[in-house]
Amino acid sequence: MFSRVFSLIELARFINCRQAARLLSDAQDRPLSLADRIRLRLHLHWCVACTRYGRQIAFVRGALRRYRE
Amino acid sequence: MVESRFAAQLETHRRYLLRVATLQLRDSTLAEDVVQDTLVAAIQGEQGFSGKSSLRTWLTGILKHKVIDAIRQKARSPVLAPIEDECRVDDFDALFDESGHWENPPADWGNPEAQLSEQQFFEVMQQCLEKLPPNTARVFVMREVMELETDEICMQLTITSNNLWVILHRARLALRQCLEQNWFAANAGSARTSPSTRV
Repeated sequence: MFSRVFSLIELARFINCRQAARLLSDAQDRPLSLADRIRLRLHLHWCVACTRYGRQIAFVRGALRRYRE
Repeated sequence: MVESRFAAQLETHRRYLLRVATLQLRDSTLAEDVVQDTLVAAIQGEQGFSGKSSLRTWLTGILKHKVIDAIRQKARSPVLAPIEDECRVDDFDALFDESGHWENPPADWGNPEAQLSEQQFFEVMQQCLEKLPPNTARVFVMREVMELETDEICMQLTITSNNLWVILHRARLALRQCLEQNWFAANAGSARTSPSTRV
């Protein structure tokens, strides 16, 4: 019981933009853990800058694909 | 006759292949050899080109193997600085403040997909790739242009996955910033006065 509450607190631990940017990049190359996905989702909910960053790096990936075609 | 037309078609992709190879090898003579090999292999393997993918995509697939062979052969005499130099996470300090917020938050790019129809955009993107640190450019091109799996890149370059993720992260941060400065910001400023938009 205690450990369960503790892990929920751990999950809700906020991450900053620096950490979110790293997770957004990693998400393009590896599956994120559930905890990281939740932290990232929470962060993006509030953060316009990181939401843009995520869209922009996805755009860059698509642009490079187009470049090769 | 048909054969020479195919060869002529291949030739139009030489410059692209050369730039992509150079980004990964950092040695223009070696890159030229690798591209020459690729084009010869393409002519010999014309039957293998089904037309399902574009010619450029098909050529990129051949180039991928030639580049890996070249890197493998050169592995004992590395031309690049140690890859660890580009894996330090404290290099990102300048982009974020002490509390971890963006120093320069990403700007609104509007509808970036519209840029993909502009040839000039790809020229700027290529120049931004060329500005990346050598190992970073190599890894990023292997991942995003050659579309190698991360495990394969780690194996070929003998780096850990964590180092690979740091390098890819560095490349994305730098490339995004470069595109914003040299394309999106530049275009936003000139859109109103550019004569081409009025005609």
